[in-house]
Amino acid sequence: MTLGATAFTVFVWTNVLLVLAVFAYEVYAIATDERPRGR
Amino acid sequence: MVTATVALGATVVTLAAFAALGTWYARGRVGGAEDYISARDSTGGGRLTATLVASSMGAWILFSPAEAAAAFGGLSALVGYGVGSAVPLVAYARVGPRIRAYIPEGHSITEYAYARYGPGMYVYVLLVSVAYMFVFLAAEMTGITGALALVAGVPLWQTATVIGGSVLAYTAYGGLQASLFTDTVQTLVLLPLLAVGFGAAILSLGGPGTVHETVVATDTSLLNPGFVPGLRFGAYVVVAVLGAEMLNQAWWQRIYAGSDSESVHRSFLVAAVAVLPMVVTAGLFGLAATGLEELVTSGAGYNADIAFFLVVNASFSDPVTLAVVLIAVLLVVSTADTLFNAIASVATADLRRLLADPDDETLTLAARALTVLVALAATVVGAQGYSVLQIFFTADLLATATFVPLLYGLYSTRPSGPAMLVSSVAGLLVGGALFPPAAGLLTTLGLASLLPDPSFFGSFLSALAVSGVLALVLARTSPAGFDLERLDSEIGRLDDPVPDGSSETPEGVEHREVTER
Repeated sequence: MTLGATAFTVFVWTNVLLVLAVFAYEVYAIATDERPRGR
Repeated sequence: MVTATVALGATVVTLAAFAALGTWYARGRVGGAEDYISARDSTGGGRLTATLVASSMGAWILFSPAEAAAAFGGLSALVGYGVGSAVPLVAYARVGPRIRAYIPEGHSITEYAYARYGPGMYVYVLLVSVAYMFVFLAAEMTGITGALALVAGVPLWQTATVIGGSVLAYTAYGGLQASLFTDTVQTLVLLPLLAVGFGAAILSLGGPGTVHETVVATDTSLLNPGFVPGLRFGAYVVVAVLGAEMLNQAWWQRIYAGSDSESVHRSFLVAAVAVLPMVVTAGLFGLAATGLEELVTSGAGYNADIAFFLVVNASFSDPVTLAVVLIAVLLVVSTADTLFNAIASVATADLRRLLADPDDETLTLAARALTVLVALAATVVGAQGYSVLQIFFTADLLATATFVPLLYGLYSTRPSGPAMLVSSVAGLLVGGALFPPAAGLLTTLGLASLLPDPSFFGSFLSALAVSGVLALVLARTSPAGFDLERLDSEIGRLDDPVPDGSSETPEGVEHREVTER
């Protein structure tokens, strides 16, 4: 079974978007780490 | 083509910025050897994930995944490579909290090997672990010098000197503290640069549709997710990378740097999810390279190992090429600082025992001197332009035959040092008998006709199976002989020369976390 053009396109852009999603998560997680705790 | 001056200039500016950042952050944070090689409980989940991503993603992602896609089985090999890169991080998500629970004040994998198994297994693990990390480091330096030579004609020695020198400047001064901080910044810069840079690169190739047409015109099996040679490649890469990374001291340091066991567990899992698309995205350029006349995937003139850069040279505008150069520099710097400190930390942690309780100043000085030594050696090797792939495979095989017997001792009281050493060596001998680079030696010895055809698949899987099964059998036939609580009392902080064994952790909070998970 060979991956079709549409499936391949989705595969490529999904990977690129996943890298961006990881970046967004990292920004959020680091900001949460650095936020002062308590009121 | 980007000129050597522009490429080297961008590299120097990037490196100077990170050297300044690392030095600035480490000021006042390194009080002694303990702070230099350990940043115990200091790093929250976000920063821990960032350092895991930065440390695992080296310049190799611009070489090996593309090579796998172009020459070893297309998409299935590429996905196998991505999974292989993620699996060790998943394994550490399980093993990491256990290491923290049983050895709460440890530093290194060799400390554990000595305390759990004694001197024989310690020496063996020391050799395998340092050999793997140094080969990894040399491969990174070789990769970046080769990359800048390919895309901008920068002489090998100039790249090696600039990178080795500047990374040394901040790691020799700030140790692990500097490395953890710069890793965080490097990840935050690298991730968007990688996504946007690679996205732009794919578009400049005509988009995924054009890449697909190119591959279909070359060989449709490269786009078959079930292509058997690709799956076989993926399987042995998973085993080889898992084995090697389980003996990588950098991960042990980061297990202790995590603020708590839950952060360690979660961060390793998130990092595993992160590295998969990074590796696959980089490897897609290997598929794109299959349409190039210059690509040679077998025999004389083999150049699939630089498939990524063949595409860069053939298709990209100067700004995209420069972005690729910066990505490559960031990748190698984030891994090199990690490995400089990891190799130095193995020796530093052991010096306390070998030098019979040296003072902290001596240990810190020794750690810095070792960092300089490692950096100099890596810089010299990196400037030679060697092919390190075969050495990499050898180091992988050593580690693959070792990691199950080694880590089994964290889960059972039965394994003994001699039995686990026998298991490792037996796995190594069987794996070595099927190891393609050893075929010439076996033929000379007249043994080749008695053995199955050599293959990396057979070699790595048999090394794992033989060492693992033998470790299990030998341990089952031995009486329970080692109290795991001893690990805590025998391994202490470097600034605590007489470990008192009074820590309450093993039976307390940390053990509960492991059990609950």
